[in-house]
Amino acid sequence: MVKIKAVVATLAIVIASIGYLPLFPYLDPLARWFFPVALVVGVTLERREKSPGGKILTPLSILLFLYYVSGLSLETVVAVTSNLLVVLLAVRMLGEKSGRNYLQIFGLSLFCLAASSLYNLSALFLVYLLALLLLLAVSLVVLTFQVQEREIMLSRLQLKRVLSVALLMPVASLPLMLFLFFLLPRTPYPLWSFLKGGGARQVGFTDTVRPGATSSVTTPKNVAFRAVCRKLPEDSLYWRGIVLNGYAGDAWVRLAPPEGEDAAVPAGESVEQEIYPEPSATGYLIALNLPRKLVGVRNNASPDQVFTGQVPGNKRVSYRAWSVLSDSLKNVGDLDRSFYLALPRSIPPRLFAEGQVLAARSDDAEGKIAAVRSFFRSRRLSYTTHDLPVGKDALDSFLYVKRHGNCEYFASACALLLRLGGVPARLVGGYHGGIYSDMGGYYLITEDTAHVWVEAFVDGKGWVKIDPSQWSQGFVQNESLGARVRLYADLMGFYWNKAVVTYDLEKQISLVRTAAQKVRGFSAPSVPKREVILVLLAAGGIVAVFFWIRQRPASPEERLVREFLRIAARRDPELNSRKCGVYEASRRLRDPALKEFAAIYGAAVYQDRPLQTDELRRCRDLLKQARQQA
Amino acid sequence: MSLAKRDEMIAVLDELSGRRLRGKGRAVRLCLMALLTGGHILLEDLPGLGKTTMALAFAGSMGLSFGRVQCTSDLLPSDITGLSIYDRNAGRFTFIKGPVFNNIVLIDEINRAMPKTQSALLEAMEERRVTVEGVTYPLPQPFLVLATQNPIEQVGTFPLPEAQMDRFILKTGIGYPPEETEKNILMHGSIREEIQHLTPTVTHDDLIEAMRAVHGIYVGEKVIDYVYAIARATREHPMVLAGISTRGAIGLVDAAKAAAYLDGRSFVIPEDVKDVAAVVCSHRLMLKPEQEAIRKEELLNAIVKEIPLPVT
Repeated sequence: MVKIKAVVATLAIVIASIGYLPLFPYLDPLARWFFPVALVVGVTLERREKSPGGKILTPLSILLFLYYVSGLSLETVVAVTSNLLVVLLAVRMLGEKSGRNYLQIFGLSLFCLAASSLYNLSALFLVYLLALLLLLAVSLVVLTFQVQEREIMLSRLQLKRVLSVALLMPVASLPLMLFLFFLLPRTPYPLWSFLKGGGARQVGFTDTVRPGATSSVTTPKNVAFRAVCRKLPEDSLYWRGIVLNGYAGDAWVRLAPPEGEDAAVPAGESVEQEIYPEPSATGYLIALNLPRKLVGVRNNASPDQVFTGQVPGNKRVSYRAWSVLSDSLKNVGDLDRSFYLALPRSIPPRLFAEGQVLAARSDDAEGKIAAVRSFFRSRRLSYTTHDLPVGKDALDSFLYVKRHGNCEYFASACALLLRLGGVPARLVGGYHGGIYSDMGGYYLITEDTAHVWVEAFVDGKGWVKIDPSQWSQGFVQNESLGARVRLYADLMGFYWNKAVVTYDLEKQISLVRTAAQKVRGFSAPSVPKREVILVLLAAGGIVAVFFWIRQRPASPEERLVREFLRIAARRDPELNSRKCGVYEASRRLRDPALKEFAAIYGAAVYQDRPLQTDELRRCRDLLKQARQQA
Repeated sequence: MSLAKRDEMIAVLDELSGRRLRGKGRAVRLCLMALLTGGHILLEDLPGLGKTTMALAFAGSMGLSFGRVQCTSDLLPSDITGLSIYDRNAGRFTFIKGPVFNNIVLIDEINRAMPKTQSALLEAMEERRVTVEGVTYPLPQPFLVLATQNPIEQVGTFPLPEAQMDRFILKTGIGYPPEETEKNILMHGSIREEIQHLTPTVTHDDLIEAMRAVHGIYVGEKVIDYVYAIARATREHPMVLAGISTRGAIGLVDAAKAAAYLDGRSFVIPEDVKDVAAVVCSHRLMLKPEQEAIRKEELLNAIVKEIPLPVT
């Protein structure tokens, strides 16, 4: 036997936790700790069959309410509301629980979960939501039992039945939910985003490169974006984001490209990508090097193939890009060489000297690039993200003292040397690498793979890609086992974003449009009508025969007894469930006609002989009588 | 419908249950069924509910001889079967027949007798003859043992093992009579005196003929299937250690035949089997040790209820 009271109490705890957990990271300490404490105290008190009572709880609720509401402002609406919801839920968990209180707990939990969606709408939200829906349906059913009788007990079997019926309801409503998801109106702009404030977060990808600013770079393994495309060779995975073409003091920044410059992506096989970036404040649209075209988001393309988008707020977007996997970008306009040869404010002397040597070489840009490569190689530099050279002479330290650094050091040192040597050069920021999910068919690119490389201008070739980090010793960005595991976890989030979060009015309309087109385009194949009718008739006939064979009683006796049982069941519905015999039924019904039928029928059947013709007739008559009486 | 001597048997039943043994109709009917099938019956009930009275009345109105044994722990086998005594006048041993040499033998509180005596008695029940000192004496026909036992008092008893229980075709209780009937009995007092002077309404030959008729009742395949389904269900039930034996299933068929005979039918219907299943089978079930507290009748009824009656 199972106490329904205990079942409801457990369900309520789970439901309240589902309301609380998604909000947990965003709560203030009071609310964050008050809830678990209240939960434990509430359970303990319930065990001892005590409760604090309204005299304590009501003033407590009012106090907490006033405390939170006093801090209310337009910026803190969400925070105050969610804290308040959690605190009120905690108070409810503390107190005595009647049916009404349980309903309050359920309602508050639902609101808490809704509030959590203001902070974060990840795939986990779906899990919480589904769990909550299931549990709420079950709890409401079970609660009706408890409301009827407070101490009601059910056997395990009964409980199992109740639970399975209760579970059936939300499960049955799932298809409806899916249907409504596609149909319900929605706005292309998130309703609540104005409440959230700027959602800028740390990214590995920056629009300023200043080697020597920090001694170590730790970027979280946050997802930067996902790109759906075919699997590509590892060495072509350069995701172009930004071009840093000039100096502001000592730092590389992006300046407006000179007038009259224009570039042409070389012809070649283009790779189509569908890119789902995580919301960030940068506004640069990333695509595989070299992007040719980008659609899906309103964007501006600059002559150095940098795309900037106008992404509203924190809205999740997706766009499609076509790229040519090429290492050189043709320049079709005039190139302002002086713009790309500008130097920083200060240059370390040793580096300057090295640049002078390079400039003195008479050969062309390609020869100078080769010279820089051999210089880097001869320095035996290694790649690291820790213990980076810092300070004003960071590049000097990088090349001559510590001889290690990250891509920023490699790229800026290389570009500076090239500029000193008279080769126009610029930095390209973006990402390098990515883990391919074979299951999802997309690349997962995380913030820690942010990368900077160099483009140098070679006459006749255009802008040539150079990745000086490749010249280091031990520059490998291999994928670990953790990355593999992460990938599987990521898959769910990817599909959630793809199917739910970026699903908007536009997609809805296109869905309707394609559906309409399909319907309009549908034409019935021309088949002679007579043949169709014949086929239908034949099929109907086969179905009818099949049912007739299944339904047809094997013998006249069987037909009789079926009729008899039907009459009996109509008079006394209980008989059916009792697996009654013919005599037993006729005895219970006290109908002389049925009694006589049983006697005739039983005498034949239980003596293992078929009914004779006159007996059959008599039986049919008797049944007819019985039917008429009913 | 020609069932030999059925009317006479029904008349006896009506006489007994309607006039003499009011409120014991069911028990009397079951006794008659046991007698007609040639089996024996075990009455399990409290003392003072009229077991002996019923047995006496039954024997009296059937015109059968009646013997009675009151079991105690020092009862010897020879107290039941009889023994040879030296006859000084004749100068030889003569066999004095014990109470078992009667058509109807009432064994009161059978569980008070020691196992040795019980087994001697049960052997006589099964074999229908008694062997004393090398001489075999056949028991009279018909032969019915009515054994009683008290279900409550367990001190100083030797409860019948299940194997011995199997030899009784039926086991039943009598139960308290309905309120009106009991008040009536209280008003008129015991009928023991009356019973002494009962005139038999059937003859010995009638009874033998009726037994033969019962034996000839037709049992169809469907009914046999049904009996087998019940036996099998008891054997496969998770609470049951040992289900109904083949002897038990035979008893079920026999009892159903007797029921059909008394109902005026020359063939058995599944309802007959269902009606007698509890009294025939429940005492034969051996439950698992952890299920001892369950009442066997209820378990058996539950099992039977789950098996659909064959209707076609």
